Amino acid sequence: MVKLLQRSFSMMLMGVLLLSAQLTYAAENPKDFVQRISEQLTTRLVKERAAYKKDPQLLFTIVQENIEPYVDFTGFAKGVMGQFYRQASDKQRVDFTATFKQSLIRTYANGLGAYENEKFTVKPYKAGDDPKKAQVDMDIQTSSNGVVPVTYQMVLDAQGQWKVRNLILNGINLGLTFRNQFASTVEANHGNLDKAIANFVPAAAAKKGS
Amino acid sequence: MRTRTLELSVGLFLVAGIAALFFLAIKVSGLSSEVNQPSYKVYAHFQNIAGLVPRSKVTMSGVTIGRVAAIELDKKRLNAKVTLEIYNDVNEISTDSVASILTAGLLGEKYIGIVPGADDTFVKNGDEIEQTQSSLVLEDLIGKFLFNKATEDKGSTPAPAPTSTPAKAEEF
Repeated sequence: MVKLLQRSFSMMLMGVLLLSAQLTYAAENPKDFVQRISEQLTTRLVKERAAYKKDPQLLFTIVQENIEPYVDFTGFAKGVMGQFYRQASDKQRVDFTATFKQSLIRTYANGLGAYENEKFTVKPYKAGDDPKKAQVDMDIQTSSNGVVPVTYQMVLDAQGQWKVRNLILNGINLGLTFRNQFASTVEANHGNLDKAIANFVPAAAAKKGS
Repeated sequence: MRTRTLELSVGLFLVAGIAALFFLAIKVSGLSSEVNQPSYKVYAHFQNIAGLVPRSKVTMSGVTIGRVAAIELDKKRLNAKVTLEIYNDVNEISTDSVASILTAGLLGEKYIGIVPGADDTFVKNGDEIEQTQSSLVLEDLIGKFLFNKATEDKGSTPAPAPTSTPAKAEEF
């Protein structure tokens, strides 16, 4: 009888331990996350190179499929709108997020069109104070033997999935560059948010910033 | 009698001149205007603060809202921890503001510019501004420019094409 109790107790303990182990593994290591999504995108680019060279729309679709689930576009767009987010209506916020997402994916796809199988190294991850935020550094070896440092700033969403919120490319904080550009677009349109949202072009912003 | 008045007036003129110079020095350095303003402390971490010194100004939209109180090395995160003193009457720095190190003029002094964000919560005494943009070091920029130039001249294709991420940076 005692032996039975002991056994059932140890089984229960093991069950609890396994369950808690499952719970701690819910949030993926940020370094592994960045490694995984980067490899996913680059392998697909290398594999379908011939296909998308002929059809640019395919490149756009590839990038969209490999970027959309991992980037928090709403949060990113909110940061780009900055102080104007508070005075924007819900419709304007949604409109801006949609146009921003499209232009970002388009410019990213354009850039990746020149991808020639450059290697990247994800640096070791050092956790910060906030468990819901992570910053991962990555080095991309360019074909001319240069190194481009990229930093991903990510947040953990409600489902325990990491989502990219901001990118720091070559030391340039892209979220800030876009925020400044949006602010000057609003100023150029005399405070008319609708016109600013329609006229905002992130590509021009990054050219100035970098 | 005449020499005494003359000498007295010359002396007074000299004292007035030195006082004026002293006053000018104070005004230019900005020492007196902010020395007694009550302020609260906010922290920010930067990868590179090149050129930023304590007492550099902190601005928002170009308007001075505080001063840099201290700069120290954060031994844990291995970056620079800057303590900013923001005047008490400025409470509108949202938690997702970005603090960036800018240069006054082309080769002038470094200062911190704060760009406000969208959040409804604001930073209080002891909080940290999480998003930052480090100082752009002139030598790095020149180096990058020369490097791009060199690769452009060496390769048959222009600089944007052979490297994917500078292309991303340019087109992005």
